[in-house]
Amino acid sequence: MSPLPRNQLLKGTTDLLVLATLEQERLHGYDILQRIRAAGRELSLSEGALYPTLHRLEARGAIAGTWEEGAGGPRRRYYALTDAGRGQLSEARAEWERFVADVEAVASARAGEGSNA
Amino acid sequence: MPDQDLTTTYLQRLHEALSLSDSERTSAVEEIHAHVELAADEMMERGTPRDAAVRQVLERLGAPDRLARHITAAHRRPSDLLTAAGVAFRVTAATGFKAFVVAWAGIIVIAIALGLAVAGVRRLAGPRFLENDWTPVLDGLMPAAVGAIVAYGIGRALIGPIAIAAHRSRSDVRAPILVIGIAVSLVVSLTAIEARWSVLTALAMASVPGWFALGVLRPRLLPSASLSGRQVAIPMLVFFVAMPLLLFAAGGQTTSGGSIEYEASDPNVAYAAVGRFVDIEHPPITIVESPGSGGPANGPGPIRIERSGRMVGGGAEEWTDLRLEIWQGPVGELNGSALDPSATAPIVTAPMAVNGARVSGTVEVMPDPARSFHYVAVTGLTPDGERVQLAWPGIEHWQWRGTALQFFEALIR
Repeated sequence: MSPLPRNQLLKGTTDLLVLATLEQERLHGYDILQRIRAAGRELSLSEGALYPTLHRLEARGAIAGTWEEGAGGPRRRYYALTDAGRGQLSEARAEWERFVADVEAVASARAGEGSNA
Repeated sequence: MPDQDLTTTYLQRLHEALSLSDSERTSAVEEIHAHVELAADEMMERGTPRDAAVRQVLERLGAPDRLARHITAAHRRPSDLLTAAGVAFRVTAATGFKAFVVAWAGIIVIAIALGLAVAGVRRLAGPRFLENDWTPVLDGLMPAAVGAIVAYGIGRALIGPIAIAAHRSRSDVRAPILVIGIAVSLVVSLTAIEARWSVLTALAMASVPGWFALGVLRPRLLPSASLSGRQVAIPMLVFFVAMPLLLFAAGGQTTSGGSIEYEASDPNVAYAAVGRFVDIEHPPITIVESPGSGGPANGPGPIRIERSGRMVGGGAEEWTDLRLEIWQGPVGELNGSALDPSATAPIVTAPMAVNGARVSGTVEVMPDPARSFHYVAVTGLTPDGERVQLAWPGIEHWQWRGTALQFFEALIR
């Protein structure tokens, strides 16, 4: 078992992943999932986690959903980033970068100490 | 299970478990439905059979209850609890009012139908059929029945709206609703409703919180299948057709309510335990003021009874130790005598003050909830030491009306 379980790391970043995926274009839930899987390769965001996240972001005003007719199937709900959502995405990115830098600093320092000794 | 049935079952369970408004719930389910179709179609294009594809997509979505819980939680706001409290108040008031009206209307209809049926049976079986006075039982049973129906209705109506307002699952809100609802209904049922309780009816009123709990837990305790129109209509038809038929068979007439008739008896025999009457035709003391029961005659007591009168033609010197005596009346209604047949001594006695020709006295009685009458006598001692009745007796009628809690307290005392 990995000392860094990916599903645990993923939990805190789901909002960032969804907001970032919607930055360029409006997408429906299934497409969002596919884009994340395609871009993140080993990021296995589950459907069961995606839809509650979409509901939460929409309730918070970060994204806005609209219904469109599907091709011969049920209607699809497309989501687009709102202005508030763009602001939240910027904040989330900055926070993520700070977090990664902090983790990197600690992890690298330990590695450096080990090599100096 | 075919894939279509699998999807339908999943979406139905999701719909039931979502604690959202109708439009939000429909929207969420439709979105998941679209996802299942899209994901399954894509897997089929890669060669997966449809049944297997649908099954895999649904597995990745997770159990519908769990998904519903997470989607519902995504809608939570800090103000949800305040909103839920407001919804609880509104639903309680609206449902309580409707249930109250329906319950009383139902009781009145049933009472009329049963009254007519009893009248009909009396025509056939004789006037002694169910001849007891049922008023004391009905006096407490009706509010208890109404309380039970109202509590059940409110309990049944609360869960859904509160779960939606609080954005919590039904199972999450069930426990707090039960605790708060049982506490409130217990306080209201035992302390707010006054009636002429008996042990049976007071216990029925004390069971009101249980009916509330049954309403809240109903989906778990009772089958969810609702009654069909036919299942309701047939008993109703039988009931309302049977009543007129019964009456028709009985001759189509109802008897009018009879008045209580007192058996003619010699007062000196009937009330011998109290003492003989000095002069039954012209008693030596005429009661001129009989204010009746003072104090909380409608509650658990004590009752204050006052009497004042006038000596006819003087004669105070003939009688000594004038006393106002309260004797226990019969259990239930008067039936020929205002005195408990087993009484051998007054329950309360107090001296009467003599001021010239005027006599007066006051006593306080802690009444028995099972009795409605007290026999009030004015007595005195003859020179021979015999205690005799010097005035026409009075019959104090009162009704023990109070809350069920007061009734239980009186029983314990």
